[in-house]
Amino acid sequence: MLEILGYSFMQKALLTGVVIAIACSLLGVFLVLRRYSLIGDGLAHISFGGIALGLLFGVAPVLFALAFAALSAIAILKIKEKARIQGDTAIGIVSHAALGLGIFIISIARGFNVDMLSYLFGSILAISTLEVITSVLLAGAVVALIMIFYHDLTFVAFDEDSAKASGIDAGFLNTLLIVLTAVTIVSAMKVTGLLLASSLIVLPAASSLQVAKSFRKALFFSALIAIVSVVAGLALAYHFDFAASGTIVLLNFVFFCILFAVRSFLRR
Amino acid sequence: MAKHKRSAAKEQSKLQEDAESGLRVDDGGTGGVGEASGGSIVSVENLSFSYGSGLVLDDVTFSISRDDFVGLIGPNGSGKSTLVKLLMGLNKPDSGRISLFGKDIGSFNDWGKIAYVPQKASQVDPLFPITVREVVEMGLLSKKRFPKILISEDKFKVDKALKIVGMEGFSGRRIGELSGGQQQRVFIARAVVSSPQLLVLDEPTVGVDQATQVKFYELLGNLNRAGIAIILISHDIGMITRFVTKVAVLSGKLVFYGTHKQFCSSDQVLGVLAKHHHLLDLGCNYEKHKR
Ligand SMILES: Nc1ncnc2c1ncn2[C@@H]1O[C@H](COP(=O)(O)OP(=O)(O)O)[C@@H](O)[C@H]1O
Ligand SMILES: [Mg+2]
Repeated sequence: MLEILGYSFMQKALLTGVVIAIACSLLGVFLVLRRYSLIGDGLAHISFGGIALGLLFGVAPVLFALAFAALSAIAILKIKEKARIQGDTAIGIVSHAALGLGIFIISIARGFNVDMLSYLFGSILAISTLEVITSVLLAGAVVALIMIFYHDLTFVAFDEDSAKASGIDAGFLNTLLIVLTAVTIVSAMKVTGLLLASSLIVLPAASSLQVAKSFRKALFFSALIAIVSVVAGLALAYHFDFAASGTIVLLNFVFFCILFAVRSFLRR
Repeated sequence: MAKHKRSAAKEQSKLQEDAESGLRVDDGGTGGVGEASGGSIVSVENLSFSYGSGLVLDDVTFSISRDDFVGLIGPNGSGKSTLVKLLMGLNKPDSGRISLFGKDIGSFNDWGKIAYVPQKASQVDPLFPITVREVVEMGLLSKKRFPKILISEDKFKVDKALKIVGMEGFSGRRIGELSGGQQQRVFIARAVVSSPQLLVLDEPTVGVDQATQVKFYELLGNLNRAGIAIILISHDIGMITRFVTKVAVLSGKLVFYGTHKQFCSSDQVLGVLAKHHHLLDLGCNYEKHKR
């Protein structure tokens, strides 16, 4: 079993997968607690539109998607603020517009359907060194920023009014959180696929929240679950020739079911 | 419990001493602007505010000094929460002036002097994974500059604050598991842990039984005597008037502002309030019994 670690493609997959898993699962705890679970999904749709635009114009699709997703993330916050619309509806408006745009572009431009699929589902076992470096740097920066703003992000998630009255800039932190999510989704795109990235935001956090008593533990368990599912998922996918992203998501779901059962049992 | 409280008061004055001897270097900037204006730490002049249509606050003027314990009362929807949100800088006034510690609120940035427990704090998300200790730590961390790190002295401050509110045995518990009254005491601990000079509480005892409420108000009285100015919002007039030093009655306009004694002898005010309260328990009879 351990011999698979000798392959450079497996080393790249593990490294990138683990770093992205940590970024997604830490962000996930904040997003799930703020009832923003679907932002990852929404931003994945948005990135899809961004990629299509990038491919259409022939400029670096990832950079294009990055800017597109970050701007859309800010637009979601503004719509939520100004238009008297709940958070998830604002996500729905922007993400469906971007998804529609993506599909529209694909239909008129034709020819890059295959590329689009690799962004949707990822090709973690066949990524280039450059893709590894980009993803690790981006996701690493996200993790560093979460660490730096950890206390303030927690306070705002728990009790926004008190946080504001303590002089914490909640507006900045809300923007930061959603922009970091956009960056994470895009950095995960080519590697794990858009679908896997958004599931790594929701599932490990939801599992961790079944059992965690403290906030530090909630973050720790979420990251642990995400890492274990990525490592085990990659091993299983390689061994049995499964689709890596699907295997990782299913493992996450199994973890959730187990922890949910544990919690129901403990409660009685 | 009584023993707890006495030692709690002592603990608090120790906290205050620490603050006075070491940390409190600046005192409102120019050698205590607060003192100069008669010790007033909050001053509101001709404040008006609306959320769009219809004035919620109409030409409100008052000031609060360092040793005040103000009970802010009034019927539901009378603008009490709105008023303290304006004081906390969460809403911007349409017209009028607010000064905190001698500085206009626009240029005030010493939020470490003020601790606020909002109304909805009593509605904690029961599933939020956060321990009592982590909640109290927020009160310290939010006032720190980057990098926000807890030092060993902070651990003692958190322990002290939990002791003051009688929650020292709960520090590792998840806050969602506690009763409403216990949660509220944790929020008070979060508020006092940073040794504030002004404590603002918006209906802190909703859903708490009466015996616990009385203990809670006595605790606030102790904090006030230890040197913390307090603004306490409540719609339960009878409960709080016996603990406070000043009463403010809000009903869009500030209908009354004065001492407890003036409040009980103001027939006009009592008449206005009687319209809103079936049981006319304004805490005045209690006072007579006591004397
Ligand atoms: N965010 C808001 N937007 C619009 N109207 C509000 C808002 N908050 C409060 N109000 C209205 O302002 C009035 C005063 O509310 P509030 O200050 O919460 O009263 P109180 O705390 O005394 O019960 C009420 O009529 C309420 O409906
Ligand atoms: Mg209110």
